[in-house]
Amino acid sequence: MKKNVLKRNHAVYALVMALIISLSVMLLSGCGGNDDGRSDATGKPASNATALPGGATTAPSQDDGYVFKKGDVTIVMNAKAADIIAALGEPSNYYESPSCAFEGMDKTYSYPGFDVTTYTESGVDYISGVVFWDDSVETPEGLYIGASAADVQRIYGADAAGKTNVQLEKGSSYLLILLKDDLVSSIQYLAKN
Amino acid sequence: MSFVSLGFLAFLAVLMLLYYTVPKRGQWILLLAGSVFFYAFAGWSSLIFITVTALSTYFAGIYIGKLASARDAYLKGEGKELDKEAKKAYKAKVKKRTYLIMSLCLILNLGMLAVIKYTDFGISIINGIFKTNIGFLRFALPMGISFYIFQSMGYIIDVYRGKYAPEKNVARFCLFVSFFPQLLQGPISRFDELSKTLYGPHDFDWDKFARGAWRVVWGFFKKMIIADRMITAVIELSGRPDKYKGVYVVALVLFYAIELYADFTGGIDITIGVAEMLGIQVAENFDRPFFSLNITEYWRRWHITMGTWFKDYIFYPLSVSPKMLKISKWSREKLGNAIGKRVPVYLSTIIVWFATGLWHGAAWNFIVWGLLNCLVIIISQELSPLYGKFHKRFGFSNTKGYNVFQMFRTFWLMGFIRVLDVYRDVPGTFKQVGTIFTTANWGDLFNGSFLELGLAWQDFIVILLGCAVMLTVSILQNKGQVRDRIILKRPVPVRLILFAALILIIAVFGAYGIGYDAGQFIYVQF
Amino acid sequence: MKKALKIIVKIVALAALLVLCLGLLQRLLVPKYITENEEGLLVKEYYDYAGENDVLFIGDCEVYSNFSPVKLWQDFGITSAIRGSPQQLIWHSYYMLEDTLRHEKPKVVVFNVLSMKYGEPQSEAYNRLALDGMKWSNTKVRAIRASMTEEEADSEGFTIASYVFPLLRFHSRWNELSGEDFKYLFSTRQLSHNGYVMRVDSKPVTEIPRAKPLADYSFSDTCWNYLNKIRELCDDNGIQLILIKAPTLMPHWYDEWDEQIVKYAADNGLCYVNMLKEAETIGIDYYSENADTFDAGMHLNLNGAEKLSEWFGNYLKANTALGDRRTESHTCVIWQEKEDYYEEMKNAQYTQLREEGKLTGYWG
Repeated sequence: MKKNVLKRNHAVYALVMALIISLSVMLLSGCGGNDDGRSDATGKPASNATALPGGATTAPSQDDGYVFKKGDVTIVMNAKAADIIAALGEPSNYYESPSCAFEGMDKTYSYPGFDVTTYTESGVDYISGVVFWDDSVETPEGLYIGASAADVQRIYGADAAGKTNVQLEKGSSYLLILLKDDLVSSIQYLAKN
Repeated sequence: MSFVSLGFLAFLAVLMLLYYTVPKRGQWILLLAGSVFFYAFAGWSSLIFITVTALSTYFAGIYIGKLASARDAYLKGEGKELDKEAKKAYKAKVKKRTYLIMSLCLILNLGMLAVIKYTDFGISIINGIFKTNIGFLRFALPMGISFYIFQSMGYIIDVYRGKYAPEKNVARFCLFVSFFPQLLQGPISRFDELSKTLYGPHDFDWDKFARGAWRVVWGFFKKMIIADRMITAVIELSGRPDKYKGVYVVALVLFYAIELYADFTGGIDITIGVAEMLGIQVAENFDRPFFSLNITEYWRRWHITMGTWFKDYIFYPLSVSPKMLKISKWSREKLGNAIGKRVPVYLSTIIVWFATGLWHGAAWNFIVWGLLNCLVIIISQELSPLYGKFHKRFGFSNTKGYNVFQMFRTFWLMGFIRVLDVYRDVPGTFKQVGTIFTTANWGDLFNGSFLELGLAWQDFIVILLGCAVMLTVSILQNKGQVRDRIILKRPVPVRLILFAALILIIAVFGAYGIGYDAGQFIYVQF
Repeated sequence: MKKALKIIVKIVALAALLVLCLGLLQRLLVPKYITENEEGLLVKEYYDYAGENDVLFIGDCEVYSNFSPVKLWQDFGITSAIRGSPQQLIWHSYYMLEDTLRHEKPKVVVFNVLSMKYGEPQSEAYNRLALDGMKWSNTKVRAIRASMTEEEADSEGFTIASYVFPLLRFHSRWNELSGEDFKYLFSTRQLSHNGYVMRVDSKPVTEIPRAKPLADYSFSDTCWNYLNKIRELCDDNGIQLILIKAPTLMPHWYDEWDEQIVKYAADNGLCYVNMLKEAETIGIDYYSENADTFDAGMHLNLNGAEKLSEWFGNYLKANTALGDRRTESHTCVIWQEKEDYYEEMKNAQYTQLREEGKLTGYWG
């Protein structure tokens, strides 16, 4: 008889516990839901006091920063160079300059209208820049060598009139536009260190 | 000043030299000066906060003490003739005043902590609910504020409860609040315990000094060889959740458990060791928690002084508070005795764990972390009769093998809850843990992928050997302190060589200098 | 008293044991620069040949690869030394000059201006190459502080300590130790010829990448400041300062940069010679199979360095009051030894080149 009571009690406990667990799970996912909406906001005070800079070394994703597109190939600053260079095809010229003493090799690949440069880190090449040489190429936004300061203003919203250079910053890249007499004389993509 | 810095070692060397050369009466004053210097290193502005805490708590303590002794004097003198009822009323009146003073002190200090630590979190919640866009204040967290405020609040509550008389000397009290070895990450000391040895006088005692030095070096070993090396992988794994799923989440759980343990206990070893070198006894904060058979035991063995603080100053008072008694009565009536009697206990438990989570950090992930701990504790408590029956039936529950299984289970359970710390994103953490079942990438264990986490195979070997040493020491500690049992029994030359070897190992294999993040103790942030 | 003595003995014993072991470990773990980054030997080697040099070259690889003091001695009787290291920045050069003046007082200082293009510390690793070998003095401490990268400056005390005890910097080399670290535990090899690093092989220039236009060609204030300091230090010591740009094609030297140096030299009454413009007169061959460069235009090889040194010896004769010291018998004895080692290394390199088709190290 006593055993039965115990058993029944257990059944009640089990029921209550099941309730508690499911409630908690709902509560937790509720928290999660709240958190999701402003993960950015809540993340900040926490990171204010953090010893673990989580994500500090996150590599740039494909879509941040200025990119140059040649045909189907998208050239992203600080991206691994191998696939990009392979996709661009045989360069018309290639130059490599080793560093003094330490390992490391800066490479320049020349293509009609533009150069791509790379740097080495731990044996892997990464894109360090793109330089335009003539108006046969243009940025995906539509700027080319010979365009006017007004075009720079229209396309990038940067006041370039009367200036010799405009440097725009986005993600892990800079876009450097040089001007002479209010005409674009050089366009360069640079990787941020 | 981080423990792992040349500056700290130099500071320690000068302090030790002075400590044992100045007149003994002056030793504690020197410690106070040293602590102020240590704290001033973190910026003069943060000195203001600790001064406010120290002085407000000191004066509140003195005032409460005065009222209490006036009461005692009165009851023994003029009030001797009063009848029982009148005495009781008089006592209640005094108690009300001391309660008021204590409350003011608590409100001031906890308020200060709340404003500095939790304002931005509050703002983020308000912004979230009301879709407002209030800017964050971004206060810099003064070093060790959570620790010294909790330590001081423990003191004022004890004085209020009449557990001990308040400290009369303001400078001596300031030393209790600011004693430098425990400023960075605790332990949270109790005044009656720490004050026994804190104020000296201390003769130079070679054996005590050597014991302390061994413990300091052991702390550096854990911190610099294991934790600071491991942290590279922990940051990489937790920083790129999109890339590291499945087996990597399991790895993160393991790595973070080891990293945090080595870092935190290493830091505490340095704290206790330094104090020991000064002849001062600081409370232990860990008792090899990874050998715990269940989570309740784990929390008795991990960050012990924090656990007992919450138990003594929140859980117990909460459980016996009139409101809780009312709830208890109500729930027993409505829900029956079996469930009803659990309601107040669990309610207190939930509140304590919520507070513990919040204490660790002003973010949802810490709160959820606290509540998950609480959930597991409650569940295991509820299931314990079931377990009991199960064990009785099968009878292997006391075998070594089963104990190892229990340790293993507790280790991983705590580990999975703990990753909330590093992902810092509640739904993200659950998602990541979920990928263990959905991403079949266990092959990455053997194809060299793990060598791309920022650690070379040599690093893994160093970590592995370091962990082996750590584990061996822990097992040896089952029978008592390794220093007393093994090291300090050897002849002096052997001890010197062993000690020198340990330093050399740290100098070579420690993760420090260029290329290594000058990693701070993780608990410094709390 | 007896107890105190015992404790002191224990502590002294421990300290002595530790110092001994740490010293040994440090020797083992510090890079030896014999098969890798050999240029790390340069700064330290200077102290072996300090003392009697009339001309001092300071700068980066554009001096230590391109000028041969032995050639200057053989053809002109000019005694000279080079204090250069890889990517030596202008503040390194300034402090190197200051350090040199503690050991000798040259009559002419030749500074290569390429480093004017770097206004900020570039790399911790190159700092070590430039500074580790320098003897300790107040100058070295100031040099370290001036050279620190952001990361190094963040823990300045540690950085300086790591120069005093290089173990703090190189302790993590335990996983790269090789036979060389044991073989050269207590010894080293001589790399340079009064600071000149010899290479006899050739790799012609095939392509030079187009030099992209810059947004701003002006040198940084820091660089001008150090250039002024170099000039003033020379003035104060009665030393003639000559500015040069070595005739190597990479990295690109912009006309806009050149104009600024020309103006600076004119304003301060200094000689400045841009040897890129003299390359034809000098007779440097960049393009043929046996070109005068070993890495396609960045550095000259032995032939190129000797051609350049011959040309520059004449320039020195014409523009300075340096005399021919081949009449001093004790100087001749010293330089005879240098000539012998120069010949020895040259022969060893040519032999290896002939037999193996390529150079694997400076010692052949």
